[in-house]
Amino acid sequence: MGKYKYRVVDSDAHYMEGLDQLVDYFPEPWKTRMIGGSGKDKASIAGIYPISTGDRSIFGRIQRDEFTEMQRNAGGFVPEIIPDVMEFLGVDAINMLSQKMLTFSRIKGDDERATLLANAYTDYMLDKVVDPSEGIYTMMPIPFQEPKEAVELIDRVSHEKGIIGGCFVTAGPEPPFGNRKYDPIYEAAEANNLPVVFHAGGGGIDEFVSAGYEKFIETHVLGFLMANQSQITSLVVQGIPEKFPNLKIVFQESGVFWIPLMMHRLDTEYLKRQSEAPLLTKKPSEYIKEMYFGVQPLEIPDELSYLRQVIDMIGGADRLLYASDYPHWDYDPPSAITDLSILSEDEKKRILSGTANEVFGI
Amino acid sequence: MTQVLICHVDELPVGERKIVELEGKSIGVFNIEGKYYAASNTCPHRGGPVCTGRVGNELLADFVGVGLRVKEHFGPNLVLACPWHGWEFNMETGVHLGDPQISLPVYTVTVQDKELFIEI
Repeated sequence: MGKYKYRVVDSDAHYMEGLDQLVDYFPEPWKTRMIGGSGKDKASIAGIYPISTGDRSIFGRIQRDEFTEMQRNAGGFVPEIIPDVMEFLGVDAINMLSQKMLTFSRIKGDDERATLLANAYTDYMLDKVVDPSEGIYTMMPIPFQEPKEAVELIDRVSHEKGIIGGCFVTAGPEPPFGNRKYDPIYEAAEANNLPVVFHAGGGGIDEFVSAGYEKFIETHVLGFLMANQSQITSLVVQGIPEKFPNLKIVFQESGVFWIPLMMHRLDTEYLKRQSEAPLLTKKPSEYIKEMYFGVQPLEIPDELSYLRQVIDMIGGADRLLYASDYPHWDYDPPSAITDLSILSEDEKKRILSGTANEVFGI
Repeated sequence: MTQVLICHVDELPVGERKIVELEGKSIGVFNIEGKYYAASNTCPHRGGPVCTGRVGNELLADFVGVGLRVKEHFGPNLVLACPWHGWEFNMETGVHLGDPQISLPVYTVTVQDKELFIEI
């Protein structure tokens, strides 16, 4: 136990890897393609990843002095920094997800990149970063663009104690994740008892649905939310929980108020259009209440009872996982939960570590 | 329960339906392939004239294999769709297809001496 009197598991923090850390894990010809040459002929590895736009630090308004200090002491964002991050946050275990994978869904035509990067990143994390004895875990990014290769990765590394889930980035997959194309991935995850985590991400927010938004606050408020809304709709309507009833499904990084919205909107339409979701044997909201949700960025309304109602509507604290999202601009420390007067002690324990134990076994 | 006379069987041939007013309630009586059904004509959703709606078979789907298109087909149950918003009800039981907590009142139809009665 650190700063808090509770055991705290951070279900979603970010590993801010540089691509140079991954290069040794690329097979040829990618390795040479990415780092070959010298001087003006030196290839750039930056181009392998899509990037999103917007100034997340609000032009210097958000500072991470402690994070800068951690990086200075460790010599950059290297594995040795993680214990410092955990101490700063006050967490006993942490799930570190690749920073760069968050734009993963923007990889479309050149889908070999997705498989390459998912494998390289997973191998790098297993080799250099994860350490279950220290509470450090990760998720493999799922290269859903190539389902067969995604299944191979799941089958290859799911047994590793340091791998606690398979992560799908929800911004921009085409077709969306309820499509039968992805069935083999869910089948493999279910067979390996690997939770699947649907994580909102930056890739695509600026062009998601409608281009032309001018400020980051607009694209972030909408993009992360709409990415998760689109995927939960697809998963539920296409009956993924019916096809794979033992699959553990987690959604992360859109707060919690969106969940009852989707439950009630889907139910309302389902009562009218049930014949378009014929695999379902119960209302959409009942499937959603069997899923799990990372709470960050947690909305704190002036009237706290509204948050209490949201938690009750979605099935209670049992559905919720504490997640920091550190070091991102809108991270939540564990006090986002420990300070909440609307939660009982048992509910705080459940959100801070109990649900993570149930879902991820950590 | 009282037995209420609806009509002579010849007045409700196969494929036809009749909306009647009984004890202040609007009720639909159907002859579907020789079998009689009766249900409230007031949809529990928004009060739409549900018995004027489409009668068809329930659409079902089977998960026939990983990665394969779900196989959609019509099952044996007849369903009645309210024309206002599409709420669908099992013709026999009145239960809403999407939520067993919701149901449309249905009535038993009997034939006595070539006359149709419903129990209300």
